[in-house]
Amino acid sequence: MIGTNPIKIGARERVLGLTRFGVDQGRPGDLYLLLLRAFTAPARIKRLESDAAGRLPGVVRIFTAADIPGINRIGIIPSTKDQPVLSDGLIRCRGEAVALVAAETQEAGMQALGAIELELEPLAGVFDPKRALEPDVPLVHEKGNLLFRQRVIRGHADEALARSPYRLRTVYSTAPVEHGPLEVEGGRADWEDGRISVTACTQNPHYDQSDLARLLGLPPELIRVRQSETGGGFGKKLDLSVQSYLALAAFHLKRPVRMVYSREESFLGTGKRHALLIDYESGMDAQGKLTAVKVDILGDSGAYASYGFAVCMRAAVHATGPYEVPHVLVDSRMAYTNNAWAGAMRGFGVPQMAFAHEGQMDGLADLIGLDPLELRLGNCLRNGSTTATGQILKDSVGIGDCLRRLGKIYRAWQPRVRSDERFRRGLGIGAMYYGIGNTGVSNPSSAQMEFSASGELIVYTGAAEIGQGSDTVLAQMAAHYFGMPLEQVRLVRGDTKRTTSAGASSASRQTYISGNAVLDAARDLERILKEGAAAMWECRLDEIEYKSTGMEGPRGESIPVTEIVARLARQGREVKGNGRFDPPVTVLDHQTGQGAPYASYAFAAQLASVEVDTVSGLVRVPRVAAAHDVGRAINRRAVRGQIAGGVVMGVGFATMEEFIPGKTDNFREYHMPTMADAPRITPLIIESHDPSGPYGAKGVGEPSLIPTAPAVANAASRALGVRMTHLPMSLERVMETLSQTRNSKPEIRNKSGF
Amino acid sequence: MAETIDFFLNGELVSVQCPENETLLYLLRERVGLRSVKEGCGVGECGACTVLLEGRAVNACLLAAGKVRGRRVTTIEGLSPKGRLHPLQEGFLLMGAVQCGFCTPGLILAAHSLLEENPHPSREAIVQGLAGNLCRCTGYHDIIRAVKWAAKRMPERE
Amino acid sequence: MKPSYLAPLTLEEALEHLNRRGETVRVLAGGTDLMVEIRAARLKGNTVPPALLDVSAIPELREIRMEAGHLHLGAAVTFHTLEHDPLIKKMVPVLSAAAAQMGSVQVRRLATIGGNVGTASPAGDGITPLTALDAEVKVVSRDKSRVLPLTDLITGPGRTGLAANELIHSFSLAFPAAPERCFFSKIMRRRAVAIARMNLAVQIRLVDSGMIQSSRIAAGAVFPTPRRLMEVEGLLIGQLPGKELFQACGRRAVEAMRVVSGRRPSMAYKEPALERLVVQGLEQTCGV
Repeated sequence: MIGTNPIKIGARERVLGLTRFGVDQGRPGDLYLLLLRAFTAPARIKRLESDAAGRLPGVVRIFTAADIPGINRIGIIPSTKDQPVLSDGLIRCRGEAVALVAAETQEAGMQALGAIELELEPLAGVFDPKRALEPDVPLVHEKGNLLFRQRVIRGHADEALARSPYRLRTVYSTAPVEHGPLEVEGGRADWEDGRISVTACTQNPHYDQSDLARLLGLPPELIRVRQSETGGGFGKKLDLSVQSYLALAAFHLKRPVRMVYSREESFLGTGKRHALLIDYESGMDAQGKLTAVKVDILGDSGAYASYGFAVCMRAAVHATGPYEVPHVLVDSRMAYTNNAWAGAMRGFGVPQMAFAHEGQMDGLADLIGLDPLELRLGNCLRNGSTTATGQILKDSVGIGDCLRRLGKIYRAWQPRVRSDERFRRGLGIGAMYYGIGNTGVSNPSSAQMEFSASGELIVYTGAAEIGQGSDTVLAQMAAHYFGMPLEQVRLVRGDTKRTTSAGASSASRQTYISGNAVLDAARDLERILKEGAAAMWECRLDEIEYKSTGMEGPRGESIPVTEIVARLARQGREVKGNGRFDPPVTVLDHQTGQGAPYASYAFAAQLASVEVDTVSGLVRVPRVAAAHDVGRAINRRAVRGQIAGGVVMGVGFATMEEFIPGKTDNFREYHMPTMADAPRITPLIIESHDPSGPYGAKGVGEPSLIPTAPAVANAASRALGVRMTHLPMSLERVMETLSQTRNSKPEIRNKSGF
Repeated sequence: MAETIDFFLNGELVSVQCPENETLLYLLRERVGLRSVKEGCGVGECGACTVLLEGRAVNACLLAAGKVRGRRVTTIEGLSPKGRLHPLQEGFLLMGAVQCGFCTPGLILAAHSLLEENPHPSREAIVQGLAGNLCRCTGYHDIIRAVKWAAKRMPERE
Repeated sequence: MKPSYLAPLTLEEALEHLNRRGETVRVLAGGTDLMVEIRAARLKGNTVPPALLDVSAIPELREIRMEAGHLHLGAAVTFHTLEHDPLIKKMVPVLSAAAAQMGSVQVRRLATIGGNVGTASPAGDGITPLTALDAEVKVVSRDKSRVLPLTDLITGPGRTGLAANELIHSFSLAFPAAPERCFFSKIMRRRAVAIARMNLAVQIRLVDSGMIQSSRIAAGAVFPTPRRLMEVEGLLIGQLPGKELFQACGRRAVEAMRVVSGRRPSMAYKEPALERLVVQGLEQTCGV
């Protein structure tokens, strides 16, 4: 069962078109909800007049911030809840929601939107994160424009750099990126006897419940959040979106309501990947060993905090990449601006950091004249290494194995990579490590398990399945534990009434953390069953053996599981195993960033071949080989699927994706890779077996994406002979580079070809 | 103003009240209640709303409802009339081409149209033929494998 | 209330409607631009969709035939047909090549050449090859019809000289008297299904001596309206294909763009891209 390839749970319904996603929840008779948004920012609302609009036929009610009974501030991080659900009088960024219309039909609702009178008074704003932290600039929030700052200090980086024979300093930058799941935000809410029930696509139903309760000033028990089937997330569906509006309207109107964002709203109304500006200095000794890094990171959180705190911290912690660096000085700051707000997106700042640290590794390899792969192998973390935060990695450090596996392919591809007059070609490597779970905080998961009367194993989990395959993986673990076929495992999932919190489906944490919680529940259930049998047969617990057919006693007694369950139930005992897992981590020291922020780390390295068209500037990625240390692959097919999906998202990040509000806010202008843009992918699974993971597993969701853009950027840099320091490598940027280098000698050696 | 539009939906003649200048996507989702047809972008860029019109893939979000009058429209339900999986559906299952599954019905229909025109497509033909269907989860890797798998198993047509 | 959707089966009927309701009805062909426009207007709170006059089923507008050395193309011929029709592929391969790169398969099945011209995007994938081919367009109304060069019909980005009661009827393309070589290339931000950042159509006739006897070149998203690159064509006539010649052509194309389109921020990209695209297009066409 572990390491096999069962067909994904829910896939059959999906190929038949039976699956109901968040956007499919509406039913005839539901009221439609629509948002009036403001497009001038920053601005102050001078006048908001909705009475006439509210009297239009078919319009039921129009809500503004004044209708929010609880606290009009949401946000995942408890200390930075700063985002109003409906504007509190200020428009801090473009697209901010001002009024919510409930109407009998979509048409009536749209008419009302057109009839609401909104007058805005433009204010001075700040749009550059650097400028935002200078004195005497407009404040986005009263508390100031610095959202968060995290330092990581180990050793004496300045002195070590001064002593280093090789030094390299480069400034890297990245653009805001949209997640682009194919399903936009959508859902439905209903009201019954003072209880509100919200069904919507989400990555974290239990968080949704808590912030909705706060918003409405209700105890959480009165709000039930059910995760509908969810058409992709990638971090986009971690923050609240339609849920707030659905709950607010159902609360007031006591009627079922439905809401679906348009694609344009979905671009505007959710957080983007943070644009980071990374000033990176590396030092290396004469033997090619890293001596020190000094990194200054500045992130643009836009107008709201969302996950800015977490991204700031994770970027700092991962700044060195998967390498041993004795002296580290990282200063990571996250600033508020009046730009589009940024939130969680697959990797939480690490994809941006990997672009920088991998650019440095390639640059250092050129400085000293070593092969980029060899330089990485010589510096990478290994069992027993100490990370930048001072954490000693005892085991399961698979980066060396990942690089070695790639090495064979690297050498095989090298002779094939040749530039010609039109196309410049190159190979590039990207490597990364990624801490599984949230950074330096408790982030538990819980699960329950029981046998039904007919002998099915029922697993209760709050873990949101968003396409990544957590349902299948958790069910496989449960089935494996009890030696049952997967078909006999049933999941109850993502419902605040029937399941307990598993935390978010983010940070690549569900396989590792919820997997451990499921195994804990399985052990608990086994114990309960054994206790029942031991009482019946009057023997010790350790004399009972669980077999897939039932329990067996020391004197050859046996009883089917269903019977022991029935027996215990008759005795009034609850036959439900309870499981919990919270990864053992330490809080980072606020001054130095030292600590053990994660209990497990995933490692990966990828190799990309790139072809740059000198006519158009288009960067094409024909091939990627991706080696991933996942600890243990619970479901090999799902792991390969995550890798392929991550790689293509990474190709988009590297070559074409950039969110520009008002310009690239639908798929017509915002380009994501199509099938024609996807490279041929060779996924390579490395299993280092993490003893702390469930059956040795770690995580792969985000690691799959992280090395791709660095590998592509390094390959393009080799192809062009110039270090590419900004993502995306758009047509315009590549053309500019081509024009600059047309008549000069390349700065970067393209040894393999190329 | 809602006119009656008569057309063949998955082989059956249906009469649907719907404004003809609405989209076929609206007609199918909101008037017929067929939720398997997905809206991904509304502007013909993502292919999630792909249906077959006279057997060929089109974007339901771009098609005026009035255009289907008297014509044959096929949605994913039409591929497996008796609950028996079509080779494409089976291929998507077996090759792991389904992750979140939101793009899946549209992709299967687009692939169906492709195989009707080109029963044994090369990789490049698959890639060009399905470039109008975005998927953000799979990286397309397993979708291409699924289409190849199905192409080998499609019932031979005379 | 007037019907909001009309789908006449004859041209006469369509022109009658257009004559009566020209201002209040929108001509719908494939709908791949118009339905998007209607959606955008609705999202902005304009909830009344215009009445639509669907002309896509009128047989006359779907005709493809040869007549007197010309190819006649009905306005409602789809891009899918342009891409696959054997006659078009043989006689005007540059148009087939362009059609194959427009949008997705799904869009090509709906989108029509008349619609593409009517939308008049400076980057229209159908417009560039038609311009290179010196297409004439026939425009009809109830009471008259006129034939004019395509380049005269399109008056600005997104604008045409069509009167409210007029309909694009068909295009007429002269066949070359002798075989010509052709080329179409499109620059996109990705490898498929994207708006042209720039496109180029080239049609060249070489005589046996290898000399360039005639050339017709058009570029999209370079000028506000479609236009042949006569400046470049002039350099080519009577010359032998060669690298230096083509490089001069690339530079000349850029000069023409500067003169006609003026200086814009996008020129930092477009100048080198046009130069290289012209060189590559000529090299590939002439097999240099």
